[in-house]
Amino acid sequence: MIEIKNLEKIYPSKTGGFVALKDINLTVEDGDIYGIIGLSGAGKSTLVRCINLLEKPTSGQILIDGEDLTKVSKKRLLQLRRNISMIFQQFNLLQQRNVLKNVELAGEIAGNKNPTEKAIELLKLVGLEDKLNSYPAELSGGQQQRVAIARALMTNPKVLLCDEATSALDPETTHSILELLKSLNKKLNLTIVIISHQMSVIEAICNKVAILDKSGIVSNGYLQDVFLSPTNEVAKKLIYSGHVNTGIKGEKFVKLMFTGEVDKPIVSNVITELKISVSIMYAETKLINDRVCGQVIFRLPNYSEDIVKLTDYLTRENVPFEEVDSDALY
Amino acid sequence: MPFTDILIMIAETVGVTALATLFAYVLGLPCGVLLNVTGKNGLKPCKWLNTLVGLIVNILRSIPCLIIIVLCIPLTREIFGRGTGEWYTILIPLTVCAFGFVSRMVEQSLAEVPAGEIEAIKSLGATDFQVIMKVLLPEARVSLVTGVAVVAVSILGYTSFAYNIGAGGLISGIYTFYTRHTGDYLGKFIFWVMIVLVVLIVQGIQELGLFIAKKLDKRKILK
Repeated sequence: MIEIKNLEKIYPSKTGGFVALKDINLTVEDGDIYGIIGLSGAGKSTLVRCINLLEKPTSGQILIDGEDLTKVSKKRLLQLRRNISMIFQQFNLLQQRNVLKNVELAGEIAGNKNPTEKAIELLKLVGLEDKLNSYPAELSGGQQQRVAIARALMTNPKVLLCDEATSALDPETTHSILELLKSLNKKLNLTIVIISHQMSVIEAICNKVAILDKSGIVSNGYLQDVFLSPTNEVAKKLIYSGHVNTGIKGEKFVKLMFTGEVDKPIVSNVITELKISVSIMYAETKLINDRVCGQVIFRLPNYSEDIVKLTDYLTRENVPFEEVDSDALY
Repeated sequence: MPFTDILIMIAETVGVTALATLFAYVLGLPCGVLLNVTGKNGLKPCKWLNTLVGLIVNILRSIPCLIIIVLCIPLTREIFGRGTGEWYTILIPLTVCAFGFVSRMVEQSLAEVPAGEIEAIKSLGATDFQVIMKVLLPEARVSLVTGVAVVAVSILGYTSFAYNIGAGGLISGIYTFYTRHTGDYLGKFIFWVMIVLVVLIVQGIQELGLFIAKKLDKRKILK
């Protein structure tokens, strides 16, 4: 379990210091795939580097299974880092070592005198057993990231930190890497922390998410909760990603949220049974944690009796809904 | 001038260059690593140490080689029993001359190693020493080898000053030849032969350096 408590990171500067992170509190349970999302410059990369102390926090605590990384000796820190591996956007393989030697290196560092067998086993696990003698320059981005994953697993980590690990990859390769991470999470009970600026990455594999904005966490929790009720500007920006037709300024909309519990054609029933015509401003369904989640936003009916009919119906069918302002959407 | 004399001069020049390059790296490689590691973006930034070592290196680099040769005569005499007149008497000053240069070259080569690679290895729990031995030096090897060739060529150039302390070698041989044939040295065949030999040695060092560097580099591999 990773507990981040009151974390703060300030980079010193002549004008008094740049606050990269402030007041961060976050708990990642064992087995979680925790997404941390935010726009560029929000502090995501700094946050993930604070977890293994590649960046030293200015204040606050990083507890790994109760042990505070900010307080342990240098030697103990190096040991603990082996429990918290990391993969990167640019893969960061050593260019002058072949695939096998890159993976073996992680074992050598941990004092493993004979890392070859294990390295080959892990390269099989990531599907690269036929590339042992290739050099990173000969591999595609996806293959390089697989090598990096094998290297990260060499130290038997409990946690894998992914810093924009798929941002340099095309959508298809991204998908295959995410599937690999998902399977490692299940097979090895590996806790994964994923930093990304893409909602699609988070949706694909995370069970929990934290939204980072202007150096602080503005929203966090189970993915479906954060996803269905984005409570602030940045969350909305990331989730609706500019696809909302905001209509006329000041108009009233209603948002329906589907959490996978209702199995009825709600919108078409509103139209055919309640005889209320709706114009849809935004609609989306996603598979989150193996449940179909979605939301529909449409214009509020003009007549108050229609509004009453609609709200009665939605309450009866157990569909969570709320009134939203067109300005508030984006 | 007999053929064997030229052979001896070639041996002196190549030998002195090789040995001085070796010694300059024995001292300069650790010093370059120290400069890189204690630098602002290094593994263990340490301003005072970096400034101090940097200052020593800069001072050494600012003193012209001829002056260093003169300054080193007592030290050479202490170690070798004589300060001038034999091929080996130029070894110490050449090493001192090249040492600062080598340090800066090594520092520069190490700085070219991508920060991400270092970070990745640190995230695996590597000690600073492991990062130096397993990442910094091996990943910079192409640039380091090219650097050795550049250093060797400059040291070969410095061997000109061997003339001033009678330490022999091909270049000072050419100058000696000139002093004995000031009227018609340009018309002498052997004078040009010696110059061509120097050019060939320099080319040889450069080509060898490039060849080894290319062999070592795994970053660009044609499929």
